Amino acid sequence: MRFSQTHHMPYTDITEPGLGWPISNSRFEPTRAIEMFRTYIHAKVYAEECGFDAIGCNEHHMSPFGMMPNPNLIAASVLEQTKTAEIQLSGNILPLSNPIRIAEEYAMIDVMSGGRLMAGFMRGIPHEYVAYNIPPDESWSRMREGVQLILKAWTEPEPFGWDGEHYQFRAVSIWPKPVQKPYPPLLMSGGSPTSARFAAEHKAIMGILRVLNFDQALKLMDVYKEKAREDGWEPGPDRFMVGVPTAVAKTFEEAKRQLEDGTQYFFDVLQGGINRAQQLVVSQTRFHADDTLIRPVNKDQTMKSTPVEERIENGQVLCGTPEMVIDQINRMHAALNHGHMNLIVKVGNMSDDFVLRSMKLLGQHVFPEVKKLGKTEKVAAE
Amino acid sequence: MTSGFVRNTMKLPSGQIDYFTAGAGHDVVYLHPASGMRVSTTLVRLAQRFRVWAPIIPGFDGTDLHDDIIGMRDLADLLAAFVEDGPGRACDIVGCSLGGWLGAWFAISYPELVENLVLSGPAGLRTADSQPLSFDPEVMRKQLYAQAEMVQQDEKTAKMRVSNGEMVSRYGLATSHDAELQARISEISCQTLILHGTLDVRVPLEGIQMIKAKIPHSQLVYVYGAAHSLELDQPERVSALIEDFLLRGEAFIVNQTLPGAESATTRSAP
Repeated sequence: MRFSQTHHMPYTDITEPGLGWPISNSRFEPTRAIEMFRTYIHAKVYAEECGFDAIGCNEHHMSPFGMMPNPNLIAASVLEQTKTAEIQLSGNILPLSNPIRIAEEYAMIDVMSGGRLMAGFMRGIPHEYVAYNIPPDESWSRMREGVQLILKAWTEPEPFGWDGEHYQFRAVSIWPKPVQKPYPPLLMSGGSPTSARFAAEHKAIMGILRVLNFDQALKLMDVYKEKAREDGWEPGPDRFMVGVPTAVAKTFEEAKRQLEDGTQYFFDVLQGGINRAQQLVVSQTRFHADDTLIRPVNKDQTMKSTPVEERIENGQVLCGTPEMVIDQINRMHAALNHGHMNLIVKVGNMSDDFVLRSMKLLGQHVFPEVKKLGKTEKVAAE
Repeated sequence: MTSGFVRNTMKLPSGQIDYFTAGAGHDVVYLHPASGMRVSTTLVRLAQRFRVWAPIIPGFDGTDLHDDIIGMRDLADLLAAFVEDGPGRACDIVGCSLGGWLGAWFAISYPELVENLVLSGPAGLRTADSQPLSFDPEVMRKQLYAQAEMVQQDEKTAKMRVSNGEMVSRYGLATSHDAELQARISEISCQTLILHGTLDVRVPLEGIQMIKAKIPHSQLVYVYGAAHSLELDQPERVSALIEDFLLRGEAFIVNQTLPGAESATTRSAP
């Protein structure tokens, strides 16, 4: 089993949610942000010392939810301060950006890190499309075309042009190219059946970035496996990553309190304006049109009102003492047989001191007991 | 006559050749694929800017064979005679699939008669190790078109389709392997645009990459979402690419957005 650390880098000095979209930045204090960035980047770098195999950086826009509109910049800082951890971009929101720029920046990260990039391509969440004024209806078609174009940019031996539905380039020849050949391992979301099939089509690691319950996760993994078998290959555990908010402490009570408070803040404050924007996008466009089978209604609201004990039972979170979390991981692995876990170590406004202590406990007591599960090796470049 | 195209005949030393022509301006010779001659969107658009000549390769579409014309190099000689008697000067060549194969040989054999060259899904690039091409109609339909249901059937008779099928063997398309062409492809000296559909499984990607690497002044453009029959799968995009390349040559890599820009409507000076 391999473990990655994710920290969304939220702005946590506000107490009231945004009322609309975009969320007003009138309450943003630059001096506090400087402190937060130092603290958050330190937490990412510290992940390697704690034994995390990968350090995640992900893209979100125009919200205190996460101050990483360009995760590649954070990755560049982290990779300079680490030696062995994979740099898990999870990832760039491909439909929002110039695919050639992503191909170039990912190649830079792979070179600068000595071949440690895990290249994530995500569609993002609906409100991101408002931020960059990209039609949400084009999300999937941009995603499909963009991935093909990036893989071409990484692998084509000579300069080439591209004439597509969304992207036209007459002359492409990126410098540098990635270190990993033919290209770095890919990471894609598997949050819906369409996404799961798409990830399998590219032999990507499929990330179920927020588990609702084991049954939902297994159905999505089955979709992936079915597509892989259609294409003539058998995916192992190393193709599946499960994401869970995580809180580890010396007592269950402390871990539970940190997780509950952080979750409350996450849903009540950080998610405030985002929810309204998501509703607008989903109601006005076909953003989820292809995702008809498993996507639940009011997923976030359901999670918010569910007691921590029940969320542990469902596999939605890891929470408790190291011994309890070891049991939870063992149980989750027995149910899903996955090879990666993406641990969200800071939930909402969880205290930064607690985040570091939680990570340290994971490294000292949890990882030594659970890394042997499945004996997952780093996914080789495809 | 179709969309302004007029059918004519020309007597050449080896026999008579039929051709379509339309438009005015710089001369462009269009070389058709193995499915035969068809006045496509690409041809109609080209005829709005250029004088287009579209010969029917002997034996295709029910035309007479020329006894001495057997392979691609013979066809290149025939094409030279056609250009000298028709346009009468160097011209641009646009070849699709089989026509691309012929266009490549023509540019090697008669460089003085070629200004710009477009190779759209050129045949002849398979290797001795390549799997045999399928000519089963249903398989071919899937391999030729990404969206077969969107492509209109042409107006050929059953007899013409049969004769076109017979030409596949005569001109070597069954193997589509031309080792000599592949060895000499670097002799093409003109500005060359290579087009390849991202869904094309009839022309090997390695072959396309090889000619891009070897033709000194070449541009390669992948047409996303197109199978082998690029100009029927993505008619507007492919037509715009070819037209822009023929008008601006290597400068077509520069994005030109000003409306009414001179080089958008007239050919740039070399």
